[in-house]
Amino acid sequence: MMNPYRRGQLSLGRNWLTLTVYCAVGVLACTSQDRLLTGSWGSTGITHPSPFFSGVPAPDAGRHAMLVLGQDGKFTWREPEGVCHSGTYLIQGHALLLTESTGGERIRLDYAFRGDHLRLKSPDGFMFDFRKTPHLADAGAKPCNQ
Amino acid sequence: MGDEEEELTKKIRQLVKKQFDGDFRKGFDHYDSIDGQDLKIGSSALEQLLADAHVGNFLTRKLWVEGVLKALDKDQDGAISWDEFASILEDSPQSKEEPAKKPGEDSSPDK
Repeated sequence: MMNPYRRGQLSLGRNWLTLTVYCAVGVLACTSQDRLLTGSWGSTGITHPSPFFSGVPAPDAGRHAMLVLGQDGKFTWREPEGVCHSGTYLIQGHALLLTESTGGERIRLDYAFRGDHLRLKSPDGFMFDFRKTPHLADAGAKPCNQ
Repeated sequence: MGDEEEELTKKIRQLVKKQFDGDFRKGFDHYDSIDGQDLKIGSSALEQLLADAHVGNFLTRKLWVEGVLKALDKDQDGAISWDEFASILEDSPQSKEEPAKKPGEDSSPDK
C-alpha cells in the first residue's frame, strides 16, 4: 500500500508540472503575440459601422497611417498630412494600450489578426486595418520630432 | 438619432454645463475665437471642443471632426455657425433662446 504522504507528494508534483506547463504556454503565447505586433504597419483602411461616419474619412483625405511598434515599448503613429502621435504601448491580452507622450491620453485598442492583416478597434467604434510592412520592420518607433 | 449623435450631444451638453455654466452661446463664443474664424467654429477649434468634451480619442478625433462637419455644416463652408451648432442641441431649451448679446451690442434706450 502506498504511503499517503508519498501520494501527496506525487499529487503536488503533478500540480507543479501542470502549473509550469500552463505558465510556459502563457508566456510563449504572450511572447508570440508581442513578436507578431512589433514592427511597422501600413494602414489599408479606416471604417466605422455607423451611418454617421459614412464617407469618413473622405476618399481624398489621404488618411493612411503608418504605425510603428518598437521592441522597446514605444510607438509612433504618422499620417501623411503631418499628423503624428508617439508614446509608449503595452499589450494586455487582446488589447493594445497606447499612451501618448504629449497629452498623456491613454487609449485601449482591441486587436485581431486576419492572415497578414491587423485590425485595431477603437473604443468609439472606428476600425483601423493594417498590413505589415516588412522592409520597415527594424525601423523602430521614433518620437514625432525626429 | 444614432448612438454617435447621442453621445456627441450628451458630451457637449456636459462640457457646456461644466465649463460654461450651461450657457451654450458662451461655449460657442469661446470656441469660435480659437482659430480666428469670426462667429464660426473651424475644424481646429472643433477638434479642441471635441477633445474638451472627451469625444473620440487622439487617433480618431479628426475623423469625428469630419463626421460632425458632414452632419452639421449645411452651407459646406468648412466651419460651424451658431445656427448649425444649435441644431444638434435642439432638444435643449437653452438652444432655443435668443443668442446672448455680445458686450457693446446693448442698445437699450435707457442708456
